[in-house]
Amino acid sequence: MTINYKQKWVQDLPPPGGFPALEYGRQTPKMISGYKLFGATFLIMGVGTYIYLRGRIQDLQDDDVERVRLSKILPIVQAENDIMFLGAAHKNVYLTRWMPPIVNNNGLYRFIPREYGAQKETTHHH
Amino acid sequence: MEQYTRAELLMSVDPIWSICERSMYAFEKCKIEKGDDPEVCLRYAIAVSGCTQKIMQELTKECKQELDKAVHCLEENNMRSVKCDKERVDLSQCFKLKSFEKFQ
Repeated sequence: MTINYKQKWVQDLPPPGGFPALEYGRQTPKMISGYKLFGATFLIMGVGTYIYLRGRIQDLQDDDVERVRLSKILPIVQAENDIMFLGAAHKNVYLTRWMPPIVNNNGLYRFIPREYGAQKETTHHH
Repeated sequence: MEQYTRAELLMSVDPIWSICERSMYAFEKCKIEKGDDPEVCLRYAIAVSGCTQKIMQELTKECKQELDKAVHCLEENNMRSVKCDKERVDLSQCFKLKSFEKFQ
């Protein structure tokens, strides 16, 4: 191993202008502004609400269309039901000796609305 | 009298109403004016039923494939006819092309 003693020896020195100042203080990550977080939250919520309401309105409109179509087959079903009823053996069961059970009308029963069956009256055409 | 399912009737609403509209209105008018007694409006009920039967027989005869497709679609989509507009339009178109002239 040969060493070239004629070369110029240079000592390690700081860069020109010196080293940058050491950051010896506490280092914290850069924070996002609170207003931005607030805005982002409401933006996301707004988009979700828009998507939900759009689907809901579409569903309600579909329901309306469906109801119109069902109302169009109503007279058909009604007519068929009438004919089948008149063709069937229908008779008034209250002409027999069987009596409906008596409901106590003096108690709290009278506060129950009629459609819940408390004071049920059955009507027959024949 | 043959009874048709709700799916079949719902899908053939347009063909039926294109022919039987007046009898339907007459029947409903009678029902509104004279109450729900089946014997009072029997003439109108028979008219509605007979007209519907004729159309449905025609549909099952001439447009069997379209009708079956439409009914299948309706049953697959939870009886929601909004999802089956294409099949319904196909059925109406078939009726219009093949059978509408016979009922004029």
